[in-house]
Amino acid sequence: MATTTIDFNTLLVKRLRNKDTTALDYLYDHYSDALYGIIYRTLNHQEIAEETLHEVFMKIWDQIDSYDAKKGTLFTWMYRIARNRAIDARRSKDFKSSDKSDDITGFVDMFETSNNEEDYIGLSTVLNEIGKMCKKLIQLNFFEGYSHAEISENEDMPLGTVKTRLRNCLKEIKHKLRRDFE
Amino acid sequence: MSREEILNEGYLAAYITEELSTADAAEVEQFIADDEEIRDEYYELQKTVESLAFQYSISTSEAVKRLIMEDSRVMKYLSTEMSSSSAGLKLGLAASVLIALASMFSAYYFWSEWQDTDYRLAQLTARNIELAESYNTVNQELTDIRQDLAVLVSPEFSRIILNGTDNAKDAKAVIYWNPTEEEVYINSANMTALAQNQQYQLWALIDGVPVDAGVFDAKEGTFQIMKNIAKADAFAVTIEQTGGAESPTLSTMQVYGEAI
Repeated sequence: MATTTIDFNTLLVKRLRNKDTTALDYLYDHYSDALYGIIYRTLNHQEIAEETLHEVFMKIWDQIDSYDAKKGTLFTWMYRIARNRAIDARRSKDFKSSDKSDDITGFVDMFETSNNEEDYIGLSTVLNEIGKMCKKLIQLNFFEGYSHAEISENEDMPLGTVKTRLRNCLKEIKHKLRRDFE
Repeated sequence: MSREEILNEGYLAAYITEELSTADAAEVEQFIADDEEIRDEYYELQKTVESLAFQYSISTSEAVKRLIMEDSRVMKYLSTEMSSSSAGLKLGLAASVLIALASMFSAYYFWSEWQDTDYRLAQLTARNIELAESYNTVNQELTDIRQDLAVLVSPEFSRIILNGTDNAKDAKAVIYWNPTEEEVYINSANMTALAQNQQYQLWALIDGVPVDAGVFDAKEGTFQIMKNIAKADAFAVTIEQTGGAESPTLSTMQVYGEAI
């Protein structure tokens, strides 16, 4: 299955590099919701999140030549762009003056409030099995754009512990998912 | 860093979110390139993050997509090839070739359509004849049935039941007789079929003398018009050679009934 995904994405990347606009169309239809989830959760502001999504797709379109498959999957590359752009937007002057804060405040468990109707490959079951701290760490780091240092400070947890815990949490999800597949 | 550190201390997860120093990132990249286990682990982690991202996706609006697809940086790739004049010439040439091809195609298309239409017309004509024929058949049947019905409901016709004799206990026939008009009909639905060289023959008995009233075959449920009879005391049916006999073979009498 991995091979198929790689082959398909190789083709998609090739078409994007040829500036095939239908490839961009496809990319938007398949990935915009996932990327927007990260951007929106980082910013909590619809208008700015939509502007950021636009910028993210323009960056994907303009800089597809800099995508290096050796450094990760196409999704990882897009994920990094989305996460970084959203963090930049949150740190910008405009955002701060709009009475928004970039502190970790009012943490809401998005795994419980998620209104996603489709249960993506049984993940919600798996996420109910992992600890609350796991969920929180993954959410803050991967989906709300907080760095290890920010989380360490906010959670009063040593930096090294944040890193290893995150790694263990992801591994746990991966194993539980694999168990469900087998 | 060692490969154990990479596998156990969160370097790969931090690499995904780009939270490693440039030096650490370079080291991790080297391990990913060289070490299959680390490469697989990294791939699995990426897939987990991707799955999570899809699980927590939020629907985007069509408006954003439109803004992206109509962004000048995207739009310019939709129209570049038509801008120069040589491209225009090529386009004209290509267009005329296309038109020629299209004409050939449409000529063939219409020719085959015509062939097809011709064939279908022939089919329809044949079907039409078939329908006309079956219409005539049905119409004839309808006329017959109407006539039968007229006989059945007419007060002028008397109904005479001919019951089976000892020769054929289950046989039965019904005579519809109009003495004024001298018309006789028989319904022989309950009489068995005969051998090819035999026919049923109806007799009218007038003062004990049998008078030939015609021959018939055992046809299911149909009325058969017999010979004109003005006077009769009774009716009987015998089995005779095809074409009928001068006088009845009484030993073969099948049904018998008195006219009241």
